[in-house]
Amino acid sequence: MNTFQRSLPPRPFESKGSTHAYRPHPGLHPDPAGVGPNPLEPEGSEEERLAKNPVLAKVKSAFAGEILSCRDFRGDLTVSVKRDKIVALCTFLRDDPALLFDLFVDLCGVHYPERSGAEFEVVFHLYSVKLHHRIRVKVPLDARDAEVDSCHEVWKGVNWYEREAYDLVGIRFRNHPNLRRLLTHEEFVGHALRKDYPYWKRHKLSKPYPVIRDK
Amino acid sequence: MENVKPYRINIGPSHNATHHLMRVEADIVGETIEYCECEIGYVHRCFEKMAEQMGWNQVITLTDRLNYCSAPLNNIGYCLAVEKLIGLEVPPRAVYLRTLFSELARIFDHLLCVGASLVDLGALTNFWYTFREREQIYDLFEEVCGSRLTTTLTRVGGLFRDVKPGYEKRVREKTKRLAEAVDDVDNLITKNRIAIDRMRGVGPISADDAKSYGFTGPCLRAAGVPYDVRKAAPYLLYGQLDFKVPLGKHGDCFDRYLVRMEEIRQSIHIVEQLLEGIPPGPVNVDNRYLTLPLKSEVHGNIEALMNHFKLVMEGVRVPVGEVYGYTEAGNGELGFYLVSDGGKQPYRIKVRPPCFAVWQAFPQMVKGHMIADVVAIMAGMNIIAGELDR
Repeated sequence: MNTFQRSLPPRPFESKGSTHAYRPHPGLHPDPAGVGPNPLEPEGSEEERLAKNPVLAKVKSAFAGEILSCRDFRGDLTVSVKRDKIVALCTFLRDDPALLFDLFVDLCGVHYPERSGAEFEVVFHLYSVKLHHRIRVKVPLDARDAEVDSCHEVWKGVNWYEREAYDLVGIRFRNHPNLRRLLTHEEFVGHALRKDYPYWKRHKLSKPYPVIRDK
Repeated sequence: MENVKPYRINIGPSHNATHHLMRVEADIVGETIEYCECEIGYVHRCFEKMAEQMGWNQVITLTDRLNYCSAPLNNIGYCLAVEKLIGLEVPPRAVYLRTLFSELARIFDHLLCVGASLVDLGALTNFWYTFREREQIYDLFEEVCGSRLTTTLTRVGGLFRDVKPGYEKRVREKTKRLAEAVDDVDNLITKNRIAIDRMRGVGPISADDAKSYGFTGPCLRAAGVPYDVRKAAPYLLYGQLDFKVPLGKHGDCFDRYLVRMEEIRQSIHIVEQLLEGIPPGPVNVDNRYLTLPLKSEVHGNIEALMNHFKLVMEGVRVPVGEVYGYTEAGNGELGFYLVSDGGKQPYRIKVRPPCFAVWQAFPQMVKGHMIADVVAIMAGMNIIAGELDR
């Protein structure tokens, strides 16, 4: 039934009696935290899908002890890797003829303050134009040492994305050519997308913004 | 010329040629650009932080302000991502209408880019041709959702509202005139010696560089890489529609212009196919956890009133999880990386704006060109600061 149907004008105060319209839909679980049956989900259970995923098999064979976890939620393959292996993994993903992740899609930082020891995550999204597959690579980081090697030499586009992750989440990238704030002003204090940064906070910014070039 | 010290000039942030707020600092020798650096962030308002303070449905209003030249595409991309996270299929009529709105929005995004970039090259007439038709399409959106620029067209689980009777007929009339306008611009520009001289070979990028930078959309296809989300991972109705993806060869300004022109024609073709059979039926899922009940029910029935109240005060809740939903927006792949903790608000939203990657390659593309070419390249890339800075 259409919510905003205009062909008939709404007739207020006309009771329809008990109506069938308020049954919970079978597509969404009434418990918001529960994952309902999903018509868009690929076939098979998560374990089955992971077991027959060729990309994951390839990655696992090359980085046997370095993969922390892998998931397949709604058809998105996610691989978590130890932080000292990220550049090696990215280079492998780009160059291996069976993977060929040549299109760099996205990089971002996420803050999970409740996860002790893995408060930050750097998330890569990659795509292969030739082989039509996608992967999400995650690097969990400890808040006490939120630093990871920069991947700017693997894909050219990574440079600004890492600057953005540094600017908004406060993750530092080792060997980055110009690790400065990108979107916010130089005088900005703190990192806006951290969960402990209040959204109403204001800054007084006085200086003009110099352009400093990549090393 | 070898002993000449480079002279540093500043273009922007508020400059006619940038169209939006971006800053370029360039070292020039004579009139040739030796090196340049870009600075962004002038319209940064931290979309992602704002989204974390709002309900899932309220964020749709914010997505209008990303690429404000084609707001419906952002709305649809965001809602598809949220529906992927919920695991929800919308009714067939909503799928049809969303596809139709996507293509209309793509047409006016490309018309804006073509018209505005030609103005920057001095061809003002085309601007009137393209913008006259663009206004006509804006009328079609105004009829549906009441606003022209920031449409907020979709909702999680469907659309804001259904179209009025006779909508197909009005779309058909306007797309007919649209094809004529595209032909007018085509006749004026595509074989025009001055335009070709200004655009051919200007700002080229190789296919490998484009992929490495993360180019998507017309800029990537102009470099000869066959990647279009509508073909690579068909969403909505694109798997069943007949259309071609135009490819360029050199990755220069002229190829970008040609790709956009052909995409407008293909989009008109898609719209014509869609108008053949829009199915009747509802445009929202019948799910009381997601869509508001009918007003007549709300006014006459306590359960519906409570339902309405709960949905307005608490909003939609989506399951725990994380997805990356991506669609083909006007400038390329628009991705939403959504993390949900099962609460009323998104835990984290990361937008992957197509412009960000494209603008990053600007210093490389502009190197060795003249200052006048900066304007041509900048306009041909169709950088929208709203989604560049978020």
